[in-house]
Amino acid sequence: MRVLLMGNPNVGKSVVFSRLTGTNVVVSNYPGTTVEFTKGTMKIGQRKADVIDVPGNYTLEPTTKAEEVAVEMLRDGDVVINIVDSTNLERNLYLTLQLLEKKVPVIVALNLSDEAKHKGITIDDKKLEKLLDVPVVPTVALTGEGFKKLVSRIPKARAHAYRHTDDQRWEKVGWIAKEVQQIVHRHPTLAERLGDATIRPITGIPFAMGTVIVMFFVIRFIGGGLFANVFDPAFGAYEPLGMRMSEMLGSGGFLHNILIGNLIDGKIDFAESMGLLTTGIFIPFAMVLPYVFAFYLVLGLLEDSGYLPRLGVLVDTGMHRVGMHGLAVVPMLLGLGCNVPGALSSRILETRRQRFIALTLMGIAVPCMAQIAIIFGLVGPYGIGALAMVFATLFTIWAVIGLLLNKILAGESPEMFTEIPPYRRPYWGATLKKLWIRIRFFLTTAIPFVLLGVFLVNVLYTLGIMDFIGKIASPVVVGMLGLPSIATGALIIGFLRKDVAVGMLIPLGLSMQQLVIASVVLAIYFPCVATFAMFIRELGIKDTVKSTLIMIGMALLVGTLLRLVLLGV
Amino acid sequence: MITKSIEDYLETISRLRERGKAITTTNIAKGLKVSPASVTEMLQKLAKQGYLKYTPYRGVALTPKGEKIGKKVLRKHRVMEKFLRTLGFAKSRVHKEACELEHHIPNDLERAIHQRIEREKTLPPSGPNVIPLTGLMEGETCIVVDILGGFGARRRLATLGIRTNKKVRVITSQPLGGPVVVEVDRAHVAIGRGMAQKVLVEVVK
Repeated sequence: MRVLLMGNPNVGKSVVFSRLTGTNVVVSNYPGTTVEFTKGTMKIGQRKADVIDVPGNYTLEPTTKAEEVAVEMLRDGDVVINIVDSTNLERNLYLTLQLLEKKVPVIVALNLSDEAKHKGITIDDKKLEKLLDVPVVPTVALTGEGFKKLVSRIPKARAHAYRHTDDQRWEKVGWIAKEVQQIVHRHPTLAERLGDATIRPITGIPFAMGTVIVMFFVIRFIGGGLFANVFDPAFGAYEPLGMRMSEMLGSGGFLHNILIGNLIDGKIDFAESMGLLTTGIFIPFAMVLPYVFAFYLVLGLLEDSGYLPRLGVLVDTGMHRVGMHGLAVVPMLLGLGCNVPGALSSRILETRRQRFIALTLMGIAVPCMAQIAIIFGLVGPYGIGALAMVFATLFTIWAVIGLLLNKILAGESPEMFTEIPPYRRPYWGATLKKLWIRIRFFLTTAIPFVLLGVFLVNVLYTLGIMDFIGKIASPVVVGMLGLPSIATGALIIGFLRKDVAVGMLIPLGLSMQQLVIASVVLAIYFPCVATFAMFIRELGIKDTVKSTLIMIGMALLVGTLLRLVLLGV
Repeated sequence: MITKSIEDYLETISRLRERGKAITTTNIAKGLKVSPASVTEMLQKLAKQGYLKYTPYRGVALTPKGEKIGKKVLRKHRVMEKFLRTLGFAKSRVHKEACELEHHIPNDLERAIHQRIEREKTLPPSGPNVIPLTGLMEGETCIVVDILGGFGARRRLATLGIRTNKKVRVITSQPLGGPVVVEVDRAHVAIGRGMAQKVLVEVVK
């Protein structure tokens, strides 16, 4: 049996999902599209059922990809739990009426009924049930109130095949809302006043800046703290085992190089040895994972609190200058975690032109958290100024390229049109479930590539290919960028994994200025292979090539400029 | 002299008659929100002045003189209500103000307003009070009177609650051509400047 969760965006659907399902949750794409949905299982009486969290939508008219998918999924659904936002009955019931035209059994969860109460709204759910002729159950997803009843009444869900025109539907919705709901005027709550204050420029812009700064330090604090206090010590404890393996492998030779890597002063150096069992697991688990965890935790809280659309409104004007609109903050922020889901989320932008700009800017100037983590480790010791240099350069490039692309590219960039949800206290169950899905995604996609990267480094060095490429590339790497020719290896591996690539700079003894140049060039010149595949899927080959040429050109240009500014020659 | 109170009585009696309700002291008292005892007293007074015929326990009948005044005040009340509604005042306010204005507005002015309202019904909304949503300041409230643009734009706006006759409050109108954020049905919606330009509204004072 298939249970579909359907409803407008921001009605607490994912919290309901998280309540209904267990830990076994998968995110997948709907066949043939990049529209994602989450799937889990639940028990209805003795039967097991699949629960699908359908992307939120306002209507069933297939005008966007997400809506198309929702309509498509409806055909395979056995029952629909229609999650309705009690605080905005009229708009939500419009979708309900459309569902009641589709001959699929529907049960209504009148969610956020506590929030409605706070806002002075009382809804007669019995009467609503009578008028809609399907079961209606008030719920509070945050506390779990009403869920037992909701589940027990799923078998009572009823199908209808009404017919309405748009106007008839609105009329009927208006009438039903008037019949079942009573509204008493209430003074705005603290959350509502905060919501208004953080969207008005005078108060909102300082708040946004504060949020970004706090976010940065929280991520550094949690990420750095986890590394120093948990993961680094853990690898310290693992070292004797590594040394024993090293001895068993004869302390040298090809296999030793691949598995353990180079011993430095007769010891394993997890950051530099470059073996599969040393650096190959140290980079993803110890250096990157803490930051990825910290980033997604903070991002999840920002998303679930309802702040991001407000940030989108504040930056909308700026985003228009670079050819997108305010909601582009979502793919850009997600891109900071990993460009792959970042690129995927760019489909909230309506046109191809906007998506091309978003992806190109992301590929060029939005380093992923894996890369940032290693840059923190590498450049961080030179102080906040050195880090600021890297990120300020990237941001400048982002803005300049965006302005240029917006001038050059033909086509339109539609405007922002979105609901601004009220601030809500995030529900830990749902936030942590999302965090877990994202961490799992990182582990499963990153680790194979990190290991492959480390493996290739060894093979290429052993066979002398790296030296050969180094010689060929030396006019560029040494001549233009002012880096030692051995740094070419990092640029090669950067195609595969940026974190391994930046990590390869560690043993080279570069100066602070060279580290800044190398970090920036590595960020710009090419997306990693996983992102590249994503680009092809989203943009097609032709546009991906265009985008890539811009990246390579910019990397050389910016690298050379930085070299002239920082090294003076 | 015809006092305000006399007009109110004659108006209320006319209204009851129009609706086919019994013209009793209780019903008049209810309509005027006064005590039945004071109604009886006033009816006797009105009968004395020749506005109506009053037989205790039987009922009330307006004389031609009384009927003329009652109908006129009732008409003025309705015209003023309509007028205030086109200005975008809330329902509760509209009735209250009309109850006051009906006593003061001269006949020719009432007729002129009535004609204007009737003519505007056939015209698309325009005029000094109809402006695009982008013309509103932070904190102002308005009623949506029309949405320019095609079916698609209307439908899209409708899904987030922006429809004609909806009351909308501006939370913020971002500078430098940024979006307008409005509250409609207690939900907040951000609308890009170009789209907001197509939403025609009337400011509610």
